[in-house]
Amino acid sequence: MSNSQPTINLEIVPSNVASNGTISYKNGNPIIQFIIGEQQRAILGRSVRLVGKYRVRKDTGSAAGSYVSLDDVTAQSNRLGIYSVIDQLVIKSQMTHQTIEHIKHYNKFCSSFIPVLNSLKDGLGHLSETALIMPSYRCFKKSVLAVPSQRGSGNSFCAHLPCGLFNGVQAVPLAATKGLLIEIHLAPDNNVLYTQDGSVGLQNAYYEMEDVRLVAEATAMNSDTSGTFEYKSVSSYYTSINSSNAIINFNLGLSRVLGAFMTFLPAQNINNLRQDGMSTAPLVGGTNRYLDSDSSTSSVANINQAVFMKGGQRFPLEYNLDTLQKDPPNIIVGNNNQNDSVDPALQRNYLDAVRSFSQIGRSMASTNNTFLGVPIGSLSQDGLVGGFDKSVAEGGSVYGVGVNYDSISDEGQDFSSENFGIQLETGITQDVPHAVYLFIHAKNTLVFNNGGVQVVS
Amino acid sequence: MSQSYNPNQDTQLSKVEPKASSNSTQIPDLLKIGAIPTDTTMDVLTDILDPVVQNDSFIRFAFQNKGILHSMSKIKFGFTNANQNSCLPVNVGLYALIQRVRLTIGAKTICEIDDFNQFMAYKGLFVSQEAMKEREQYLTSRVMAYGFEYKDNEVAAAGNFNFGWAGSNPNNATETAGTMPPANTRADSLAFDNGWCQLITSQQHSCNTGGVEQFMNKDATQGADNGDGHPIYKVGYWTNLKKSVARAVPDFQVSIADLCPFLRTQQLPLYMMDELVQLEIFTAPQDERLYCPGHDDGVLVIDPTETQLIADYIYYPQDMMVAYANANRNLTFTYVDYRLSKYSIAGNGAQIPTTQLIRNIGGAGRIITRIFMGVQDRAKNLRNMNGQYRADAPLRDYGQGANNINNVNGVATLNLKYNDTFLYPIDVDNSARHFHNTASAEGMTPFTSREVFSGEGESLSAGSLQVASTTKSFTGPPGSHIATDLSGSAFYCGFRIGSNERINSRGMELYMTWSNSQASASGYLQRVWLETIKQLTLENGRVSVQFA
Repeated sequence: MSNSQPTINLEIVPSNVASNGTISYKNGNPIIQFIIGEQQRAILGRSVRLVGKYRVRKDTGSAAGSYVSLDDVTAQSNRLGIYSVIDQLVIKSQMTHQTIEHIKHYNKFCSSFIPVLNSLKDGLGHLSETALIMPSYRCFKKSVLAVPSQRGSGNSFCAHLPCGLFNGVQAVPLAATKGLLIEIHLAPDNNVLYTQDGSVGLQNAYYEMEDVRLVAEATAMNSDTSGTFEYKSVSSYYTSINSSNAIINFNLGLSRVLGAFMTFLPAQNINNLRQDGMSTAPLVGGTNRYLDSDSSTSSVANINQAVFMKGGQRFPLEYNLDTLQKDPPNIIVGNNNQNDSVDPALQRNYLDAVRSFSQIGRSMASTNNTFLGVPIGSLSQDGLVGGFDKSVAEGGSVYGVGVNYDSISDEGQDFSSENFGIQLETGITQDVPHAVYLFIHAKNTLVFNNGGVQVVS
Repeated sequence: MSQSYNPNQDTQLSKVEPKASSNSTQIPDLLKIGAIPTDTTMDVLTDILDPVVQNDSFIRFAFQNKGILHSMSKIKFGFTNANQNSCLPVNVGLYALIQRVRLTIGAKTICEIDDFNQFMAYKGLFVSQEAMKEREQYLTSRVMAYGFEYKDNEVAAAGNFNFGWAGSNPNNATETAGTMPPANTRADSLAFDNGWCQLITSQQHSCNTGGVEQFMNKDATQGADNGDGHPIYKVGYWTNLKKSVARAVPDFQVSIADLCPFLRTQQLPLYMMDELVQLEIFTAPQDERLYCPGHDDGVLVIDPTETQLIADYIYYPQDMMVAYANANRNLTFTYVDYRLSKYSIAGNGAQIPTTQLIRNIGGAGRIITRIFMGVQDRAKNLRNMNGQYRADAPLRDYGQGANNINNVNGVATLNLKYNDTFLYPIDVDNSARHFHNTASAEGMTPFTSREVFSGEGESLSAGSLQVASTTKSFTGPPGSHIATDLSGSAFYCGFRIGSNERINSRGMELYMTWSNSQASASGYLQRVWLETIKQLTLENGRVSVQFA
């Protein structure tokens, strides 16, 4: 019976923890570093968890007013919870510092990954315990930000770190990788926190964590002195668009690309205490419908057509993806008579890019939070662009564009010598620059020998 | 396939795969679920069996030795009309009825679980909320699905709201000064989501119920037009155990795979057994079977005429069954069984000691794959919506005023020592990590929320859960409050023991420190279940069983 190797529980404390035990971006700890030394063991990636306690403070004082109260304006992305504070996740070989996986804009990646692959009841259920997620702005504030114990014991979390390496079924051999160095780059406070009503405030607000640990299970594994190890990774790219004919083009340099997906955000919302920097909202800056009182900037801009390209040719969809909003019949501009449903083909491809559509068993995306006719006009958030968490139920808008390159062989497409491109025909007619966060899911090989490790992408 | 089959349990990490030790490669393993080729002809014969022995505290069924027993065969229970408006406890449902279950073959105990209803309070955490809402409330009367308590328009400037969700469409509601936004995405709390619309409160909202205007928030302690400002939730009226006519009292059912968990992966070849196969059920006391808000005298009595075993016997082509029997004259498989270790850790009127408790929970010489534990406040009873079937989290203290540093969450510090080593290098005191460890132990995440599990955060509704009255009206006796009953009520902590290790002669020791607890009139009881590996041998029709 006892023929398999026993697993052991590892508990790693940060190697750069401050003397007071608390970690915050504001107080000069923007990076949390964990070192797992080289050893004859393999880490079970799916067991890796970031553990600690979390709280938000309005300033550094000790008075009661320094903490969040239920009726003040402090807000944070409710469907991301603890994930909104992680700006980058970097996994390196501990000995050689060779980068194995590096996800920039990690919180933005999670804002696609979490709602697409977890249901609403997952969000208000087990993810509320592990990642402090609660996909409703008011309930989130009541149970996390303004919880009575915020000053005393904070909010406990124990969150998985979704990424290619840790989501894989295969255990990560620590001898092959020469140990692991895991770095968590914290997000700026002004991209995590924002004022719920769009008012000016929270200049001194910040989040902090304490008792931070990385826990994981490991199993004994005798690694060869040389060999290969296959894993998947997520790469991130950033660009901006501000045109009715938006063209996105990247040389990925990856030979086994499995999928690509992107989300949008008005660039002015980034690092803006008046805006939710984590929303994945539709494009704005159109002319047909109004999202708030400022009609010059905040009308939803439709995506009328999407074309996915590889090396200048349409691929994998060998046709233009025309959406429901392209040339609708009998449209009367400004009369709000368009089809406000998200285009099902566009949405399906987006979900399919995050994970093969047939394998998505639970998802937060629904007609309630993909609706394009977002009713902002009468909210107390007047003046906001894309402050969708409050005006869209079920965790906020779940919107993006993407395409799956391989749901059959799991070997992916070769983009090492051909450019990746997307051409979007949008309804942007105003000057509203949009940030585009592009994530590429690809397969890699780690080649290791006595001399070190090398990643072949 | 049975409707109560739980697809969520497909993905459980099974560290020990039950398997036949000897079979011809040409003959499919008929006993292993999922191993039969899809083009094999299979017949299912259903027998409706009455108990061979039955009274209100004990039921015994005897199977016929034919075919292969389908693991999703069902046992149906019915009840006489209850004396109070009541339903089965919302988290365990019909399992509240079963205190102990035992499967015997030829007087040898194959599987036995004590405090089975408490055991199912833990196992029920791993049934998804969607399944609870869509299936379990009809099959077993379990209702543990949560949803947001959306607030619709404000009906007055006094902060009173209508409840319910009109959708994100701005055309669904009108805007009035001082009211909620038209897209009423504001939800302050979590409450039950069982498909029933919550009832509106605060003002004189009424509903025509057969010509009689009734106030929806009518409460025995309040005036008819003066609600408490919170919505009222109801379990489905069909779950009420008190009906105006006795024949309308509902029946519910459980599968034998729920009663004997190893049957989820293994089926019993009854046709190969020469000995009598019996299933014995010891029932819980009558006042521990139900949720009876507002009353202490509620009892639930089994209607003996309704108790039936719906046994499905599977048949394959005769030559295949004969060949399988011939090839497996000496058939051995391993399976899991559960051992309960329970201990009173606080007497009547006492709190749980805040010093470290170290207790030997057994397991010496056994292969243990996982354990899970819970601490029960024994004062909880049928007035609570989950009855006494709960695991209480350490008591939080949120009563020190806003933003006071003395407002703290309760802390449970746990570790497990076996084979002279601790499972965790440092004692675990983070409630979210307890949750993760439990998920790791079971191979599946518990489908519950943060406040229900650990009592952290204020997310549960202050509304109440009523049992519908004898008619289909919207009124009924006052219910128990959701936040009061559910907060910190599912603090079951699991421990995964790596790779089927055999425990040495010292056994396992559970280290536990509880930061705070409420003084309980009846004290606290700690329950620990150990999942052990057993081995069954079927040789020439005779069964023998031993620990692996």
